[in-house]
Amino acid sequence: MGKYLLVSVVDDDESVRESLPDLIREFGFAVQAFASAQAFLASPYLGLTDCLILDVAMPGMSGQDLHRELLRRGYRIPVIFITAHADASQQAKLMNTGAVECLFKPFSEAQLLKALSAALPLD
Amino acid sequence: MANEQERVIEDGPGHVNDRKLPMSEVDSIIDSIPAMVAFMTPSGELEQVNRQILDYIGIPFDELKNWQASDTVHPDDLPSVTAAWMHSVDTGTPYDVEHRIRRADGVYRWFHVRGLPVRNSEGTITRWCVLQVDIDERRRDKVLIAKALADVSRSEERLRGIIDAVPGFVWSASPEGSVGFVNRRWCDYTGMSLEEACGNGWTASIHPDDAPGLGNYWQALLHSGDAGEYEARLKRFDGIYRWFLIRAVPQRDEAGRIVCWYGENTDIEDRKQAEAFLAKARSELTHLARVASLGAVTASIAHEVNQPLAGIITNASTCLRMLGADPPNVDGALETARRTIRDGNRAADVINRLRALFSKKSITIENVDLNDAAREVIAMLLGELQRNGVVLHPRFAEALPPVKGDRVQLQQVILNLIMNAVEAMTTITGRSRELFVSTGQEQDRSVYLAVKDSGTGVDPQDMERIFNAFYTTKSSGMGVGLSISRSIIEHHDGQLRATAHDGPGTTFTFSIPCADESAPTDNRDVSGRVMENH
Repeated sequence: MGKYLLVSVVDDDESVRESLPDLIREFGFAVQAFASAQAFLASPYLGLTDCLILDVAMPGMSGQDLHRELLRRGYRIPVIFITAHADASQQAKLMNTGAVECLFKPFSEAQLLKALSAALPLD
Repeated sequence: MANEQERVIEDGPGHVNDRKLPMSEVDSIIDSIPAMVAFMTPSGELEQVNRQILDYIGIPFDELKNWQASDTVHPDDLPSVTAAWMHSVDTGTPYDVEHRIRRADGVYRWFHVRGLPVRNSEGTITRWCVLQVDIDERRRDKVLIAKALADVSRSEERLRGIIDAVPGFVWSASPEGSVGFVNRRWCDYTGMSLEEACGNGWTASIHPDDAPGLGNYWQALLHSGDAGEYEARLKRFDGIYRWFLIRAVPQRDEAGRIVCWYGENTDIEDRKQAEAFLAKARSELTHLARVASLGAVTASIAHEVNQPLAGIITNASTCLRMLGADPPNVDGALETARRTIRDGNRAADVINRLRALFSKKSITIENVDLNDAAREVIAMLLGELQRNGVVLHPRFAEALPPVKGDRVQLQQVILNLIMNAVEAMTTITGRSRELFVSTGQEQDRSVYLAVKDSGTGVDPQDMERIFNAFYTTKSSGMGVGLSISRSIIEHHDGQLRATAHDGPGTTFTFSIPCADESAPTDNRDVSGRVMENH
């Protein structure tokens, strides 16, 4: 288990939480999915996560809020934002916060793989 | 009269002069004449006056002789009096002047003063006999009458002035409806003369499309004797038609018989144009609001559709990978394929809801369950709410009776209220953005839907203004939504109101009478209409 990189998915949409982990697992990563930012922050996987795939619009704490909170706590986890709201200006804003990538839903397998490679350089 | 008097006092060869009277007797006779009498010398000097004059003027005879240098005669009258007297003295013609003479107490009274020359047998003037009659009362009456007459003619003039100045047309007609008078403004406007307008001539100024209706209406008024009003276009002298409100009122005598008809026409062209403009603006605004909320909703819809599409693509990708593995993960592939179908259906549902909300063009009156209507709108907006970090609290009353109305229009109102609430909360930081959407029944059994936000709230003095088109506290946005929402609700015989809270936020509530209060025959009618629209 230890040799797999851990990718955590935080999205309030259930179909994303079902489908995305399966695909990421197919890529060869370990995956954990969370329905909210709070659930992720409270989980033991917080410190173990190598890459975070983060939905932007979530009730309560949004994706940006979680990203800021992680930075505030000193976590330097590479973040890939995913959003169903295709807004180029928002995308630019998110990239400026230090995110690795910002993908518009629906995104292709290739786009996801490219983002993951950028987030997790093979050492 | 003057001639008769002249004959009487003439010193002719008649019998009067034959009997000489002693001087003292003459004096007492003069003093007993019940009028003011004076005798003047042929050169115009005062010769003698009777007691009445001395009593009236109140100064001794010696002083009185110098009357032309005193104020005995009113100073205003003195020049003309002197001139007239000198003229009579020079020419021997009778003297006849009205002027004021001072009384002992200083009051001037008007006198009619007449003088005739007394001639001897040779025809030479021996003296003047002057009679002064007090006409002050009569004169005052005459002045009063003249003043009253002047007042009357002035008020008549003023009335004519008013009639011509009224910013409308004034006319009158006989009890049978034949026009006898139109004011100048009417003539100026139509370019017709009063003579041309009289009788039925005025009808030539009415727009051909309005003339038959106005004619029938006028006949009905003449028949019933009621006051009435009618809107019609009148042709201006240059051929342009303008709208007028034509009003007619019967004037009755004490017995209640119509004496004549008075009428007044007011130019309402500007009002008519404003009404037309407003109606056009309203329909344009409704369209704008649809487009504007469509724009906001499109983003929301895209979000809603993108979610299942993301699932579909991810699942399909996973499925391919599982099948392509060695050995193929058939169970996993089956599961992901099933999820793909499920997410595809989810996307189709979103599209169906969208079609239900926006594809209908005509207005359909049907029974609407506000709970269902609101749920559909909320389902559309879930993405928008999430994106804005708004926590939704739906509180729908159970067993809510349906209301009668246009489902799409009502949903647009709900959509507008929710979008406004979301926008009102965009600036909130440091506390939660909470949206309460509730339904229920008022005491009068009408059904209400309330949208409460926890935003910055509306200033109480702006409460009514926010319903005006174009009023907006937002720096962006159309600001037309609330006024259209209100007009939609009012078309449903309902009310839309805003209430402020003690705490933050505002509640917008609309209530509509519930459908089961209508007559059952109405329902059949409505279903017929619904059929037509599909």
